[in-house]
Amino acid sequence: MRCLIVEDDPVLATQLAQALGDGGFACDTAADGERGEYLGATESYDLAILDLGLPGLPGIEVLTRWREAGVSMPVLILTARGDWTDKVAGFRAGADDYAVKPFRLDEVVIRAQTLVRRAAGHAQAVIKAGPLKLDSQLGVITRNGMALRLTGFETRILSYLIHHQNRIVSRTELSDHLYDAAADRDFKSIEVVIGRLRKKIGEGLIETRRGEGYVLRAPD
Amino acid sequence: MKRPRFFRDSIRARLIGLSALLIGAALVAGYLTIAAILDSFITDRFDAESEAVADALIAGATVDDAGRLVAGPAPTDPRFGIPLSGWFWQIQQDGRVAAKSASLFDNVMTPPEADFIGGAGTGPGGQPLRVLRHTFTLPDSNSVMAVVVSAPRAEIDESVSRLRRPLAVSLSVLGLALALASVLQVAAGLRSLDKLGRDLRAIRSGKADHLPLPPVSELRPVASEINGLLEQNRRVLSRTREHVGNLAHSLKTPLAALDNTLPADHPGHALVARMDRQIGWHLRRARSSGASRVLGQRTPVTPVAEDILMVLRGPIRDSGLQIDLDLPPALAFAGERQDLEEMMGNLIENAVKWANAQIHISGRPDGTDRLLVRIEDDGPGMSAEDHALAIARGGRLDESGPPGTGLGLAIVADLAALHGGQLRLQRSDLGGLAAILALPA
Repeated sequence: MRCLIVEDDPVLATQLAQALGDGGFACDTAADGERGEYLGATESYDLAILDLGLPGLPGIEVLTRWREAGVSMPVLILTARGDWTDKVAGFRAGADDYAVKPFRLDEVVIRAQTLVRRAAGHAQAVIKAGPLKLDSQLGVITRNGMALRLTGFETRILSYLIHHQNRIVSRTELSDHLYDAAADRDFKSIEVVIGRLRKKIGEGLIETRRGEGYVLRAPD
Repeated sequence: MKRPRFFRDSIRARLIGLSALLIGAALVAGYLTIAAILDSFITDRFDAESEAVADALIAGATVDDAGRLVAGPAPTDPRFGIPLSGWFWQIQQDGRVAAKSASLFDNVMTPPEADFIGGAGTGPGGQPLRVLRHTFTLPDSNSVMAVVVSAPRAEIDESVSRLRRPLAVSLSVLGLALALASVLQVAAGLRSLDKLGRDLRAIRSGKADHLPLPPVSELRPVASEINGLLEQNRRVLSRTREHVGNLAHSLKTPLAALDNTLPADHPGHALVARMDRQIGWHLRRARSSGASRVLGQRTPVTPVAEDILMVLRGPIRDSGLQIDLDLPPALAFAGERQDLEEMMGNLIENAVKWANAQIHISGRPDGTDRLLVRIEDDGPGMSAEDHALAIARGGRLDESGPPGTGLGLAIVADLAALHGGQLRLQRSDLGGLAAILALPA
């Protein structure tokens, strides 16, 4: 899962990136509204964390422009004022959730995971895919009730596939949602990781469609 | 002299009083002037009549061979024949009466030995007379002749008063008409002021946000000055809010970072939470203190409730709550949207937090200038003692707890009080808490 953090305070931005990284997100950060708007409108993110009190372009304006441009990722706004006027303005502009400063990082991470899960159409915190179960709040994936031992990168790929089960996910889409903007994208390593995942979760669950991408098959 | 309170307090009374005074004075002066002119006109007419009689007597007078004055034909006016009518004439030679009118009967007039017109005299019956006396000479005599003619004062006075009465009546009618006109004029003039007053009341009650420019040019500067004041008031307030918002942001962002650098069990978390609550409380107070003084605000309740529910749709969906919204569309709060959002937001959020399955939001007008908004849930509710405790203002600032919690109801009670309203907590029929907001409408 890729996440965009638009926050002008460098300490808080770093803390958020760290906490969300631990929660399974690949994070990009933007320190002002213009940069944030640009990244959000041009990159594929699964989530944006947007501070309303930004220098330059205000957060509400960034959000409005995203929505006008058809950017539909879930957006969690951070407000310092914490009054309802801020919240209402944020939701009217298209926000999906809010956190009032000062907030606990783990709370923001849980909200972020909930938003991503809901955006993929899953109402419950635990998403099922055949024998697999993803607890989106804990970031734990189990197979037939047994916790799988996965690396961070494997977890990200499998979470994405579970969120978008039963449809073809291209390698480009997958890489768009796995790497932050600074990382080198590498289809080879995705293939390698998919191969390792097949061994850990059992053959037959992840199909390769030649020239198209991967499908996580999860018949009900 | 101290004027009565009524005259000092009322422009209407002052204007009407002043114009009544001036109209009265002008009419009295007019009456006196016209009456004096009529008096002299009528008296002059009587004098002219007497003069004509005197001239005729002089013209008819001759001297006989013995040098005695002989009167010519008597004046034909029959009034000179009625005994003691007051209409008298006599001609005399060297003070001796030579001839006289029949009306004098056996009396004679004894006017002073001088020529005059319009002198006062007294007739034989004691009646007052207006008298003229002319001396003359005749060609064949050295004697001093005199003619005396009188008219009865009573008849003159009666003629005068016959004219004065209709004059007084018509001037009184004119006075009444003028007084009525001035009352109408004052009323018409002050209607603009009354309208200005109504427009101001409409602003105060939130039904308008500025004064319409009055059609009369004299009130336009006043109205635009008032509009300018309202605008300035709004600007100052929104600037203050902006500063307060910036301050909140610049304090709370590092506070958030600080909180997250502390280890989980660090006692500093409690301090951070306390700082957060203090900042929030005081910033909110600073932001809201001007609110009740901003005139001309009117916020419909339904859109605010819908906005709040939009913000809370996530938690509502997650816990499967059923929300009943029962608000008349015309229900509006006489105050700023931000404040209504803050009050309803906190109450509905609270209800969402505690409700098991349903929340009921209803509202209705309460009299002409109040409204009631009721937010009920079917959660556990509170005890009666906790009701009072929950809305005790500022009483929970220093209590421990996670940041941003525990103050909701106190904030709402405080805001409602700033608007002259009230927050009441009761047990709801649904089983949980019923929060009732009474606000100006």
